[in-house]
Amino acid sequence: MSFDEREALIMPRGELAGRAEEKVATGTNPLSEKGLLESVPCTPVLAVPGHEVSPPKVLLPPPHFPRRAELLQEWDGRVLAIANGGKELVALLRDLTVPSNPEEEITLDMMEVSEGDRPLVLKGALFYWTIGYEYGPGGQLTRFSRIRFRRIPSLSRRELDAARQEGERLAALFGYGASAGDK
Amino acid sequence: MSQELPIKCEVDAASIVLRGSFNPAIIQPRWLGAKGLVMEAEATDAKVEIITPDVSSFAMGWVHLQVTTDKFSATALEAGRARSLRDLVNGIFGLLEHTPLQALGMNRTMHFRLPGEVEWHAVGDLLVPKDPWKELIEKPGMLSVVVQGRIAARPKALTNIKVEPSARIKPGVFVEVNEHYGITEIGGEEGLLRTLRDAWEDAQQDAKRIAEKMVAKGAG
Repeated sequence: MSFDEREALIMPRGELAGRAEEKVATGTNPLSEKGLLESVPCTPVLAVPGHEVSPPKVLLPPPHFPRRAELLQEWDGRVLAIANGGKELVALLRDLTVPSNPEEEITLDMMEVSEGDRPLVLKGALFYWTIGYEYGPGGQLTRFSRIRFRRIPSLSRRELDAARQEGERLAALFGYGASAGDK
Repeated sequence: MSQELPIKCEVDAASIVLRGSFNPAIIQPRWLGAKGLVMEAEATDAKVEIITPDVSSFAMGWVHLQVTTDKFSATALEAGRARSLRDLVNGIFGLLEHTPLQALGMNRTMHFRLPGEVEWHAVGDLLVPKDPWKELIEKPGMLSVVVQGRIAARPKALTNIKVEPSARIKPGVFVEVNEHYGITEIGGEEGLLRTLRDAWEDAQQDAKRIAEKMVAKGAG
């Protein structure tokens, strides 16, 4: 078997044809605006020695785009308290559309919060609130008001370790060590 | 003197692309719901296009995810979801903290409606002057232009701006602003995710500003 024939059997998974820089490009699919589909090679099947096999390709589903919309107002908010037996939440809003506006305290009906987000509604929880208009398939205009609670990832082990090490370094720098805490 | 013309951004999509080494079979609706990264109902009601060891592609309400072995992309499907998109991607790779990453793209793709064909042609003529082409070919027209540079506030990123006639809006212009970070410039994989967390909002705002100014300049 020639070197080239052996190479054809050992196709790396996920290897895309094309220039090296395309493998790390991070824009959207360059073909998407033209309605052309991108394809990726699948895991190659075992080949009979002496017979070259090209890996089968899967066409990626076409790209998705949001509907036409117009954003009117965006805030981010922090829950200050749950009130009225859990039927309302009191929050502090920060205007993201006009950042120079002062923060505002408001009371929201809990019905404004999606059922799936209600377990997240606790004092201190953060959320986004967006208001605008959306165009439906027939051009129908629909007003929307969306509240979405933030699902913020907890720190990774690496981040926690790094934070602890930095804390210990600073403590030592300022003369606070383990011994200083044993009082 | 030129007037300010009504140029409207009618379709506006935020997306995040990561290049690296991924396992598409892991990143699927059930896993995202079980980890609390999306609402359980969003995971249950997901529209799955394909899930195989080599590719997963699905939509959950407001977000579309597509993962191959070397590319991860997440697109917000609803207006005003850019920040939630950032939180979702940070959440996924906070949990999959050992995923090898090579590059990050923070993207905003926009379709602008122009008042008429005159303004539409004017954008193309500004970006690709036709005179040098007219003696070589008949009816030259701009199909696509990509310009690369850097935004002063974030010099570690390469910013790629693509402009094309819009395939969705006629007469319209499509603008994509891609802010690209490579792992070596940004100090490793944690640097990439930290950049996504800290620079996302500024990148989105700058992308809109650049696109609006450029289209207005051309159409004006």
